[in-house]
Amino acid sequence: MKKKVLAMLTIGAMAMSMAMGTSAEDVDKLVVALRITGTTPAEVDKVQEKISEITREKIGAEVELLIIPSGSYKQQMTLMLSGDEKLDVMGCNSGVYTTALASEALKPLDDLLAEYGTGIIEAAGDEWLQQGQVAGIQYGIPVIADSACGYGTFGMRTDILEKYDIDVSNVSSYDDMTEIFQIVHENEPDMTVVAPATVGYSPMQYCIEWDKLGDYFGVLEDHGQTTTVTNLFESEGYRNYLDVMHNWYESGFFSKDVTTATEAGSSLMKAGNLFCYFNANKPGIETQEENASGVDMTFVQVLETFTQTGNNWQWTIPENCEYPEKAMQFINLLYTDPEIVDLMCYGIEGEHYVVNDDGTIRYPDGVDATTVGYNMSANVWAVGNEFLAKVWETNDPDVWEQTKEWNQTGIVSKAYGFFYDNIDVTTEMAAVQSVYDEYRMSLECGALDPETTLPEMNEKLYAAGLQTIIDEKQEQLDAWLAAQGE
Amino acid sequence: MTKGKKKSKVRRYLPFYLMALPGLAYLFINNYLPMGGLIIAFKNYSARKGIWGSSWAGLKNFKFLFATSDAWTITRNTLGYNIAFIICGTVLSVCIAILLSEVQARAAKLYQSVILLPHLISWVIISYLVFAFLSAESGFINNAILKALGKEGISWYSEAKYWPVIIVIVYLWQSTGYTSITYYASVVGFDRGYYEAAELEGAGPWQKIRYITLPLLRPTIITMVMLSIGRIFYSDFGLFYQVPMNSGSIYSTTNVIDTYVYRGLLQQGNIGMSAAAGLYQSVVGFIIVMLANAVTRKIDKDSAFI
Amino acid sequence: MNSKRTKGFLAFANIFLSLDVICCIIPLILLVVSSFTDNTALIRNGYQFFPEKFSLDAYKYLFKSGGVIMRAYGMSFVVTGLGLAVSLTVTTMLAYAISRPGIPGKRFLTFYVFFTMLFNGGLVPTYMMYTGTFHIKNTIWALLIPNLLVRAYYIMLMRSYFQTSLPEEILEAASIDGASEFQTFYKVSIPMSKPIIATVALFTMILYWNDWQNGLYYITTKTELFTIQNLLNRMIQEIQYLSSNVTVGQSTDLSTLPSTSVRMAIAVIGILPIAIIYPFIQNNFAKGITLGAVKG
Repeated sequence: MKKKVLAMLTIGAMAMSMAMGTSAEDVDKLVVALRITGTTPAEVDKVQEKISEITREKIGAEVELLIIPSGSYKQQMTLMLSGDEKLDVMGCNSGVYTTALASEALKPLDDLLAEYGTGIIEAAGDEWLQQGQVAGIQYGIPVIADSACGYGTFGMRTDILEKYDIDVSNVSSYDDMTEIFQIVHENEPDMTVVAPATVGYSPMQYCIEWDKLGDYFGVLEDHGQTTTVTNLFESEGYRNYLDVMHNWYESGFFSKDVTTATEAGSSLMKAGNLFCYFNANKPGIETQEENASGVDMTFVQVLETFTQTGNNWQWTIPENCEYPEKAMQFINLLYTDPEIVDLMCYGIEGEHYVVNDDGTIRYPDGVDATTVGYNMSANVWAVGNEFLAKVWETNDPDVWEQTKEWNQTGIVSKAYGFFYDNIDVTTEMAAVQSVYDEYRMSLECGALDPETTLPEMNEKLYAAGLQTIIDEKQEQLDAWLAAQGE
Repeated sequence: MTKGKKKSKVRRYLPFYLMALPGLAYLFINNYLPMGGLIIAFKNYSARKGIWGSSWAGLKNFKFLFATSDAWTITRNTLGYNIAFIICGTVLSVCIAILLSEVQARAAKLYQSVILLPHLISWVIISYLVFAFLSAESGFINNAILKALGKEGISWYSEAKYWPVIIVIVYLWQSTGYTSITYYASVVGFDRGYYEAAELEGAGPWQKIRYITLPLLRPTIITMVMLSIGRIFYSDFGLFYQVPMNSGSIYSTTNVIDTYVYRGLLQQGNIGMSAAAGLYQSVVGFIIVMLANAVTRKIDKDSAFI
Repeated sequence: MNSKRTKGFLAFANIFLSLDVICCIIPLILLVVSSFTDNTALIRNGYQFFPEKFSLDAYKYLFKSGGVIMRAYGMSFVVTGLGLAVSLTVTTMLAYAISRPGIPGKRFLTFYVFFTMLFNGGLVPTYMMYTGTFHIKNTIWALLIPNLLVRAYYIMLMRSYFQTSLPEEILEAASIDGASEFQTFYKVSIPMSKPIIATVALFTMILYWNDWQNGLYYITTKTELFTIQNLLNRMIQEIQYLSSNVTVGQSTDLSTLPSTSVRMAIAVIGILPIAIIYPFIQNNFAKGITLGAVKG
């Protein structure tokens, strides 16, 4: 009798513990890592709870958001991937993606995508998804965002243009810009005429007329309208760009400190001693830059609008993932479910943002950027399908429509969709990279004379193994093109 | 004495082993256990297969260190700067320590507090301060000093020839206060009896330094120099990357092994290659310090480091 | 006695040290002045000792979220205090043990310690061990233990001091008086080694206070564990973000966001506590231990 009671009790206890276990642990938890420009929001917990409410119902899993500032993201991901730390979904920029691929830390996604990612395929299309393939295998799901880039765009202070009565309507080349700069330089001798947009980058990042195929070492010239990989640093386009920059530097348009600048173009303009900085054109550029610089700006574009391959943000599923099916289902939601997308981007409605009459959104009254508990609006483009997100009130309400249209304009590289994997030439890559770094800023900001320096750099690049990289790229590209033909 | 000798050796020394135990255990866990990971340097690292399961790469990961004509430059710079640092740094901080011990206690306190401060500032901030002096457009040297002398401004960040001097000055500025404290601690710990005896015999301050302080400091100096020699293939990343503002035109005199590795691997983040670079630096440092120790041992057994 | 020579020497020493102090302090004055300079003036004119316009914006910005800063300060004090206490105890004991002559295996132990200065497994294996085996990620242990607790460099410094400044005769004398090794260590050796202990204490304190790497690698979700260094690093990132971004900036008055001066203010805030505490540590550098006195 005693035994029976005991057995009953035991069973009862087991049942109890199982029942309790159900409520707490039966639901799988997905750890989702993503990068934020800025700092981790204070109220991530609240938002992830709201997201989990939806995902529990739709995919039977809860979500834990691991939001890491961009400065330490790559480092943190490399560390997490090398151990066996749980990580189910990981957002990758090209740096993290390449590193993760090289150490075989990502799961192949083809089967998962076919079975659980139908919404993704529908939203993105096969051609778009190709950008996440390496040698035919899908490792990443590229986010849907603007892809075309308006190169050779200059943002100038409108008040100065008006002051000297400069007409920009017919500006269409570097030479036209030289004329404008000359006028400003003569009349405002204390003002820096032109500066790069970003600290640590040369203006070349916005003056591209070739498909850089990921890393500049071996490119497709002529906006990628050829399929022969060549050395960028011997191309006519690059040389022409350098000549223009050198001329500008010699004319005193750049600051003498341009190669070691510590301030972004917009901050310099805000401080009042810069006339113009480089940029890339896209819908909404004016609002974006005027907000940063605090002055009225006029934009002109002198190079083509162009879409090259690569460079996209991707969602991936690491080898450490515990629930690959659920992970793919969650990514699928990021491409199909506006509610999830808005939660990820802007937090909880009424608490972190409110909706205006025209459908755009803003901070609730009494809340601003420094006090809001959650806001990732600078990362909307990285969330999955940005076209599902609500629009912040500083933008045109139909900015997504404009962006979709914009993506259809301009030239598209023939290598669009191709991903170059440098795992077999890592030694050469490291060597070539350090040679390039030596010349990059001073050459591309015009401080050095290309006539003498460029051949010197090329010689060192070849000595460091540039040709090996070009050959490797050509081989991979040929294989990819052949696969396309099939 | 007899009591101590009667104790068995183990019992006599057991207390010391017990004292050493926590530290040794920590070093074993924190430093020795992860050393197994150095094997990554010889592997094609794959997260899927783990460190042990990854395929062997031979010496492939080391190749990039020698793949450009810069290999000689970075080795020369790394060694050259470290030797300059060891010599200038030691001379200067020993001088400061001795002088500190001679001046009035209150003044010593004040001096010591101020010269330590630069060590507390991060390299990024130091790089801004250096830029304030060297900037071509708004720097003090160009605008205040050279202009006053009627000379043409210099664009410091593109003239490689000035940087060996600049780097050494910035290094000394940042570190001398810190290292001199170590010497100062030794000097104030010396038996005052020696000095009192010397004074009675009429020795002046210079003589006391020459015949008492310096000989007593010798073991400390040897220890400090040996510690620096062990890291002779390493360099302070911030000093060589941030302070020259990563300016390419001055790489020939500012590029060292650490910055070369950082730039080369920044894009790829290859774990095997960075492990290889670290191992290379360690092995060379190890060989050099062991040689130096052997030489010291031969000259003067008592001062040998290990 | 030979007062003329001594006076001349003193004058020389004071002049030399004053020059050194001036060299050290000028850039620091620039640092402090810049932190009080109007941001726009700073960008337009570069760093200046006598700025066009002063402003408190940088500090106002930093202390806007005052609670967070004070909390991080508190965290830094706790971590530095705990780390210092444990680290100093363990380091002193180990250094003392391997400094005593005649211990069997002394050379091996010294080598064992020194070797850790030359070789390390690198970040990835260390991280894997601490997170995988010891599970210290997002706990306070992560700020205290990895790489900071015992440093070979400090052990070697102390060992060197013990070897040169603790004469064996005195320790022998103590043990004849019947003191155990622990008592000798505690009652004789430590008081005689105050200067080096103060030095290593100072170095360890700076090490813990300035460390941001452990926080960066091991603290990802529990941001309430951030030390002041981690918080200040994040703030720098946040400022870059706010000053270069659109939508977020809209309802903030960006013209008051002091992007450059705030970096300087952050440096000032970071070094202030050490600069304040340091003079107290210095009391241990009082010279004039005459060994004869101890012997007698």
